[in-house]
Amino acid sequence: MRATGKPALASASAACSLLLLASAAAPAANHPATKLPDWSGTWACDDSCFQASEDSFGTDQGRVPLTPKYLALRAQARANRAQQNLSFCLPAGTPGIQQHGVLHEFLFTPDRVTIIFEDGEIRRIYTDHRAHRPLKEMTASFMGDSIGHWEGQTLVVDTIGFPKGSLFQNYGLTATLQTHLVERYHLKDKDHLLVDSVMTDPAIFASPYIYTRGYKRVPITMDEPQCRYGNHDTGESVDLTPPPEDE
Amino acid sequence: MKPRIAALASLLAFGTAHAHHSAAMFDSTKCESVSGTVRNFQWVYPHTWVWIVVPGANASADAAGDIWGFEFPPSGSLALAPNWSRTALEKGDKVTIYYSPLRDGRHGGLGNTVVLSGTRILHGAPNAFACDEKLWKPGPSGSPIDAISTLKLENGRIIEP
Repeated sequence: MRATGKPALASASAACSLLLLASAAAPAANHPATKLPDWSGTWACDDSCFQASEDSFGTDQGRVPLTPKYLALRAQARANRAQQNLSFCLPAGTPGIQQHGVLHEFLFTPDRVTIIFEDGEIRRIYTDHRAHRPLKEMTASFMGDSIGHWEGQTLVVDTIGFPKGSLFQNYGLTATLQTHLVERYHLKDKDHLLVDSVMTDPAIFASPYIYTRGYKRVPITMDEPQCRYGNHDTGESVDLTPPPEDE
Repeated sequence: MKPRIAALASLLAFGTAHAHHSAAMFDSTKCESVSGTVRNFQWVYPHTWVWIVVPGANASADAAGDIWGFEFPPSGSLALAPNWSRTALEKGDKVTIYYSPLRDGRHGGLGNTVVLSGTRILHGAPNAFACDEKLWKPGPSGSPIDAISTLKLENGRIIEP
């Protein structure tokens, strides 16, 4: 601190700093490291992801309340046989990758939760009480800007800043600057995790899209991502060149 | 809708849920089978692949037989399915694979079910509508994860429904 020649102010400022320091040093009530839930291991999405499949073109079996404009966009994408991002080994982003059936890992570090996905995507969720960055300062991303906080054993995540073109794994559904997702991650029991979500955007959804996905802890070690465009399939063809016999 | 049909429709609705590309190259209205010996088993994302040698299928092209390739769901999706794992299939295993064939007639397709040594059934769903309809009925959850096989295995023989 620069000397100001105003001891009282300096003293008050120092006290304030100490207070802040103490506040930072003490286990913050909403994310005490020792009291966080056990989400260790590897998680696989259950039947809820099958239902949200891309086979239904992001319709979640008709449960996504799209506005007429976006219904038309999706119909057009379907007619054009639009491929999803993953077809080209591009990230599916938030929330598409979480309903795609890839394995998940959750890492807790102070002030942050990180989700690592089997295809190599990484989602950073900051739990240090920061605010969202202004939209104009964000680089286009697949994951969006995620701020989280703990409510007991539930992680609540608020996400904005969606990229253009990854909503529900794409299919012509382009996010807007108003797209907003709130998720609540909580254990149903020891080995089952639920994520209750509400997604809103006045341009895309006629009413809030409310959905829940479930994940089960599985005894599997996650491998390195293997996605290579042209690895056996290229859009609407498939490469039948067999791998080396000893692979 | 009758419950049985509703349940089946629900099962079929899963389709190729976790494919990472279009399944247009496969004819999902057909379910065929072929037997052979496992050459490679690739337990990977974005798709698990089973490569088998089918004896005599095309002897002029390959003296040992012909190599067929079958795409199955990604390892992360099969992780919840019974009997699947990285070591579920090994080189030399005798298998019969039920699949939806490639529309262009090449040797391979979208795999649905593997019968291993006539003793174990692996369900690679959700994949290939016709095979789900032919070989599986919904289990308690109605999802592919606990679907019940309608194949019967007797003394290593496969009895189709």
